Amino acid sequence: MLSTRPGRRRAAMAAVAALLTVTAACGGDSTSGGEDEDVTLHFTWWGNADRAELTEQAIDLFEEEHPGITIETSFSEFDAYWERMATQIAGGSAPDILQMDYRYVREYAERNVLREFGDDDVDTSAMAPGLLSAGEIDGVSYAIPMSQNTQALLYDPAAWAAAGEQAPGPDWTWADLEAGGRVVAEATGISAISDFGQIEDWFEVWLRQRGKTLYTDDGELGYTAEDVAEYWTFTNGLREAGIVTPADETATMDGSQANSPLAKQTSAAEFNYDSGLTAESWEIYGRELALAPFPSDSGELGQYAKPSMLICISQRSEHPEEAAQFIDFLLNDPEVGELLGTSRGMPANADIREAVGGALTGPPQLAFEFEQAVLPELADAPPPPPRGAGSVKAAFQRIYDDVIFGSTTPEEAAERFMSEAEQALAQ
Amino acid sequence: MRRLTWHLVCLALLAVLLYPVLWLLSMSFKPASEIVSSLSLLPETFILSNYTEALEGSAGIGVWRFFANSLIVAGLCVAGNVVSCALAAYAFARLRFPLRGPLFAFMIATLMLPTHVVLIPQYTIFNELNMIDTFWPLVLPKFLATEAFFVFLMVQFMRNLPEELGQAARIDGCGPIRAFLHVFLPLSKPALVTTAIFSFIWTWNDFLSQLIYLNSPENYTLPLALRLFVDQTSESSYGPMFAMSVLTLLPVVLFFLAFQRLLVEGVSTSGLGGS
Amino acid sequence: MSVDVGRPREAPAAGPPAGRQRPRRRQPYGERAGFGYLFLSPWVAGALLLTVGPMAYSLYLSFTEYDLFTAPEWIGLGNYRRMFTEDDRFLTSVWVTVKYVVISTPLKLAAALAVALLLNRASRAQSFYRAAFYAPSLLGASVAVALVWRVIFDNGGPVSQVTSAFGWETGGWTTDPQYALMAIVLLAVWQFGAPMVIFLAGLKQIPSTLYDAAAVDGAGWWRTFVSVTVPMLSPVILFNLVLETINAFQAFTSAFIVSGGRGGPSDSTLFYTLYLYQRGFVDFQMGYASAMAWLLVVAIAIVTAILFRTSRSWVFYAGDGR
Repeated sequence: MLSTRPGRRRAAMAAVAALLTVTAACGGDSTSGGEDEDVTLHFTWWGNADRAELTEQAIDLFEEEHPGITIETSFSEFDAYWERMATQIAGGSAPDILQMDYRYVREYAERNVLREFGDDDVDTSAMAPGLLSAGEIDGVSYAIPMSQNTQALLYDPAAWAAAGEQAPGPDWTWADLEAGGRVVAEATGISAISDFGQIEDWFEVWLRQRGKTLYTDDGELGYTAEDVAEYWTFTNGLREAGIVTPADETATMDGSQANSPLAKQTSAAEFNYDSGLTAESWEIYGRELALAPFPSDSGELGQYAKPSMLICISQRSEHPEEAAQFIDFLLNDPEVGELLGTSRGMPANADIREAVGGALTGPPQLAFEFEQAVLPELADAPPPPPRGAGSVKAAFQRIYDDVIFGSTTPEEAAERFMSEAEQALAQ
Repeated sequence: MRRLTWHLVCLALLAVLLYPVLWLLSMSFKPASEIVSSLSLLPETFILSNYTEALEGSAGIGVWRFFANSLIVAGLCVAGNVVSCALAAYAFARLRFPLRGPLFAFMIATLMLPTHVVLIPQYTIFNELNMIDTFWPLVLPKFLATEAFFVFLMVQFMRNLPEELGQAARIDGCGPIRAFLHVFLPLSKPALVTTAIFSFIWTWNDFLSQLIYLNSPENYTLPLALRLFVDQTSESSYGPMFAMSVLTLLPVVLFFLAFQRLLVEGVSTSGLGGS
Repeated sequence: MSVDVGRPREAPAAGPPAGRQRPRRRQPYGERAGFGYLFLSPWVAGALLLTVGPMAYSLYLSFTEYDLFTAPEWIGLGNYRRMFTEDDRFLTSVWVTVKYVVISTPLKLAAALAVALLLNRASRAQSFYRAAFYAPSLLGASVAVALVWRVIFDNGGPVSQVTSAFGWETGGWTTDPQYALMAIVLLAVWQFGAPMVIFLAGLKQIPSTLYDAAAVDGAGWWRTFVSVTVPMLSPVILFNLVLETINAFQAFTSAFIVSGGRGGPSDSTLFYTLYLYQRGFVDFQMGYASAMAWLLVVAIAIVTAILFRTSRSWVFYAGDGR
């Protein structure tokens, strides 16, 4: 059946050996890079393809003006961004410049990942001090806001008008929301508002209207179990009255438009950040919407200008000066400002924001006008939340799920939440 | 008559199984508002713009680049897995050497550890080797038989080949290498083809390692490009995302159709039946 | 853990062919031991370069507190203790995962084997059907699949319409803590293509002479299935059983995308590895995550060892000449 041919055997041995040498060979042939004066910076950020397009163009402009500096970018979608970032930094190859989210500033800064900004590194004169504080820890700046947004009520004016109800407006109270919501829900047959009990962000505004904060300056919880219980009793009552979305609808909400009851047309209003309005929003929501500030009983609005994204330099960067130069260019150059437009939200630089805002149309224009109108009433951004804040936020949503599915009462849930939150912050 | 019943059973099952795929297709022709709010299978407004938008690519890089990158990575992974896993499997299944049992146990153990906890040390190794932002970290492990799944798969197939084959080879004076090349490898074709198919599909759909190791947009693969459509902080483009998903599916379908034919020729047709 | 790899008959135990015998043999494995390592060399290189180190490192991390960016700090068994004494969500994730393994693995394997048997006949349509049945698995677990799944299981969507036609009011599955896990189980079962193809390949490997012999003996369909198909297919059944069990224990992607990474609603789809991921990459507690990972290894190893141990009584290897 088989014949003996020694040559074949040798060939096979050679093949096996060749395979092994692949390992050895491929280690060496990567970039060695000429050690001249050229500087290469790595810049990573999250976003979609449109943002990528414009960012690349902005980088081209920068490279034209600074011939010795090359910027290499890397980008991904938000969730994936953090896993990649953590792995890369832990694995020993941090990028030079990184886009940062408000909730992670302290996590990264306190673990010696972020470099302090010196006073002269980046010109921040055109940014509101109340916004800059969002990137500062104990007065030291670790992150500079790129753009800002604020909390808002996004609603369907047609649904509220059809119900004969006064549209949500500046002097609205929470009682108005309840009364008006009841009428709208009855008239339209859908929920008046998407349940807002699960989102810590809206709870924060509610707290601030009562003179409290989410976190104290020491990074402790700024509220008590009673506050949580009261908030959840209120929202849970609204659910039982059919004013906000039912439990199964609420449980799907994850911040994405695909799972927004307002977009699914099963509710007529939703708390959101005004940056949620983008050029194609009306197509996704299927109708034109309007914006209103939060209702308030105290006359205090409770909202603040929040950086929707920040930018940082890595402590391990070998070229911090060049990195700062690039950040300065990205934030302050009028030409770049015009080019980037609102692809990263409303620019943090007030001059550029006004220049860009004037040229907007459609939903972003609405967001811009809303933001300019409430700006005088907006408070300073609180300092970055403490380590563990992400887990607290997740627990807030998860435990509220138990309330709306009826497995616990708001009071019990509030107690459980407080103990989990304290545990998360202690770690 | 039995033939007809058979066809009917198959088709009925398929109707249920392919129903979600139909949704996927129909969503790619729907405008954004319908994708989010409508619960009906057929689009009310039928649009093609999702596809044109999907094909635009991103950051000035054409979508074909992503396709090409995915093809290169998947192709190399197929080659790597088939070659290296067949070698290792033959050793485990048909040769005897010290520590065979413990090594096999170790290999099975590598399957049990969740990838997330070895991600960082592995990244460190590839970083030391200067391989970040190349295809090496994705491909090299496959050439080194680190996919225990496929080694184990082929071990099971090779061990099940009739014992007489090994004896016949020996009587003919074959050493292990020639027995492998001329007897066991050809007869393991179904397992080899299976390995090729799965390697391709799994690499094609793999997201995590491609995300971690590829930095430059020029090196991005399809799964990475696909995710950019649903960034939660910017405008979500569900329509193009579905269109892109459908387009991404085509090469895998073609690959599967091309290779699965080889599955048909197995031992049963080669006339080497046992006792 | 010790695993039986069988006793290949090419080993000298069966007596090496006369022509190749040498007068002096120093080691019990004969001259072929070298060949074993030759064939295994890529695997050994891969293990040494890429596998052993990272595994050992993660084992070390499991005894430390490690936040990814600063040096790990040794805390002994602290992480393991915390899991069982302070962490209710850990226990929840164990329970969710055990339920999932026990329900999804048999269902998926049964579906795969049934369809493989259905397709294993000479017909020109066979390759078309095989491709069609494999189609769901081609999709993998992408965001698109997650969105489709949610629509199909949504309140008023196709599944709830069908169930309510039978008088079973379920509402939306993915959003109800009672049914959310089942929706993910069905997603796993729906993608039964991989074990199906492996079963088919195994069926192809069964010598047709055995079936001819069974037919001559007048054996019916069931008899042939039990005494020819199952024994001949048993190595492949073992393979699928072991691998699908391991996969189910490690289920991550589908749960991640369907629940948006949260494991909700109400932690009803908080899979073990999903929780591990949250701890490691969201809460920056990689030490704790590593401890969870190694506990999972131990659990899976025990289950796998049991499967292998029992396999001695029901798995038949033609090549082992039993």
